[in-house]
Amino acid sequence: MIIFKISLRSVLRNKRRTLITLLSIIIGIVSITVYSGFITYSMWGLRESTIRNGLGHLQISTDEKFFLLGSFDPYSFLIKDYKSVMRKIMSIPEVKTVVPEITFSATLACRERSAIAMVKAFPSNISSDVLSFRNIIEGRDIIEDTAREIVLSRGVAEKLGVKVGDILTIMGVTKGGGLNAMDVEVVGISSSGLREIDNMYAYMGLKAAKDFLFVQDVPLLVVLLEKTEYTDKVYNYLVNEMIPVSKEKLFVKKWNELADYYNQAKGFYDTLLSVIRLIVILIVIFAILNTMVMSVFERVREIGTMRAMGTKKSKILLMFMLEGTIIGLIGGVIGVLIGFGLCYVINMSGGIYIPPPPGMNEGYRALFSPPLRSIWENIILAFVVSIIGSIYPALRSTKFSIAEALRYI
Amino acid sequence: MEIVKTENVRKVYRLGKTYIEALKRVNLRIEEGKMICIMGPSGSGKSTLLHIIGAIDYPTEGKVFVYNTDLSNLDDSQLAEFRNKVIGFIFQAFNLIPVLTAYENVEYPLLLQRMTRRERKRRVEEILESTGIKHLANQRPNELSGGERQRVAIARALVTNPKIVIADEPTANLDHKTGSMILELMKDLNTRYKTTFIFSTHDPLVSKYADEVIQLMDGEIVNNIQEDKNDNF
Repeated sequence: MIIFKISLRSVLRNKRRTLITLLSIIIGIVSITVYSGFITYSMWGLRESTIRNGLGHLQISTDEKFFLLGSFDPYSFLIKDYKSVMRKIMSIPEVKTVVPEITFSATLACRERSAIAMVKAFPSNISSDVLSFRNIIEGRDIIEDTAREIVLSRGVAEKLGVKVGDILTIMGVTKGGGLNAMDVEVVGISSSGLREIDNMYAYMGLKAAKDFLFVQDVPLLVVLLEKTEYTDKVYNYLVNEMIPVSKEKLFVKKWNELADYYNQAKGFYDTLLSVIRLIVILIVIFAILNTMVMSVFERVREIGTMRAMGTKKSKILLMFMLEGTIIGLIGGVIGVLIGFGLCYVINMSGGIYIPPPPGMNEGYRALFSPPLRSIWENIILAFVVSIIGSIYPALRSTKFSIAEALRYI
Repeated sequence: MEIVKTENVRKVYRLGKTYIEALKRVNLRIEEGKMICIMGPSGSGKSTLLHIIGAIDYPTEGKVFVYNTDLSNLDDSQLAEFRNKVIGFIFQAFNLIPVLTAYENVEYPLLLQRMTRRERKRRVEEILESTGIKHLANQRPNELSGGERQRVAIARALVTNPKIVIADEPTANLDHKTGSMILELMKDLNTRYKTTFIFSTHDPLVSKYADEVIQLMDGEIVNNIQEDKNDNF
């Protein structure tokens, strides 16, 4: 107890030095907090936009191979009686909607130009649920499921050099293997924000596409949940309870198994965060180390005196460990408070404009929402790191012989 | 009864490549309850001898018995306990813990022992009273004068009821008048508590407070004078 008292008061003894050390810890923890807030928000945004760009939370087909080959050969994976499967899934409370979908590759041609596109077809009445992040930037969405109409992504429209109102010819391979072609009207142009999607996709009504391909069924059901957090729960229900008793052979994939771009981006940002964290850890270790070494050498005589009075080496060690740890803890707590405060202020002022990240063609206003667990994570980080930084100085404090320490000037 | 006995104590320091013989075969016996002064010029080995008696330094050769204990038989942790219970230290530069108040400084050695809060309070207050600094209990060392600081240090040295108090040049950082007052206080406490005091000085005026003066020169005892109070030394 007395040792803790001495440590605590020693922290306040050299105020300027303590303040400088605190400042370096605080700056470090603030930068980690703010940066993790930025990443958390951006990753949340990317996750939700990926899911709502057509991925859904869960995808159901008849075989795992569909997710590899499905767009080239949708006919091998058709779910028979998909409407009754849909009804069963819709009865799960966490499910918001189920969208039947068929995606096929087709050649689009207009005047002297043509382009290959992935045509995604789904019922026009629920399209805005699944594709709410696909903005129609020109014209309108498809309203009539049977209408011979098409919405082109921005990149595809540019490649073809078409505008709203133009007539395209769409050519594709039907279920039987024959080639089919039909004329469709471009009713709208869309943008998803993701360049790879905007350069590849076109959208049609489901009924029109089924007629064009001569199929009755779809190979894919996209399940959208009320919240992304329900993914595992519903997945487990489907895999463990529903599918085993279903007469249809079905296979379920979770969104994160399909979101390649999201996974890459997350990996990249997580690595970046680790690097920043490592830099902060090193800075804090050296700040504490430097301060504590100074503190030890400034108090050699005090150490000698305490030892002469019968204080054991372990208590001296503890005293300096505590001193470093107290600084680390205070720095950690203040750092987290300021970090969260700063995020709050930035969010209140409307966030910070971020130019388009790689692979995106639109910038966005980033908000900073550090996860709540980063409160104790960062405090523990500061705590552990300050313990590490104090080890050497504390050990050093026990190395003086008492007589030598008492002579020390 | 003998409270300190040294047998052929020799201490050699290494300073870079040379060796310095700080003590050469010192044989010393000190009776319990006495006030002993170790005199000698600087570099004569006074501090080294006090440190060895005080169990904070080891002799290179020879044996030291303090309070019937052979110090060479004790390990680090046992020595710490021994110092805490048997020995009190007073230093030239007072060496108070700057972040603790006078009261807390005096209480410190008791906190290293198992003792109830009530007993600690009783002892600290009694010794603060005896050393005349009760009114300074809540001051920090930097708020005290040199004489006041040394009184706190004396109180701290005596609070554990040690058998021996070792004081290395206790008056060297004080003016003459304050120094005399400190020695009078030490003498008074020596008489009252029967605690053995061993102090060093190079000031002949200070030595008159001692029952016995040990003259040290170049690491050897050159005489061992029974102090005659009437003799003008």
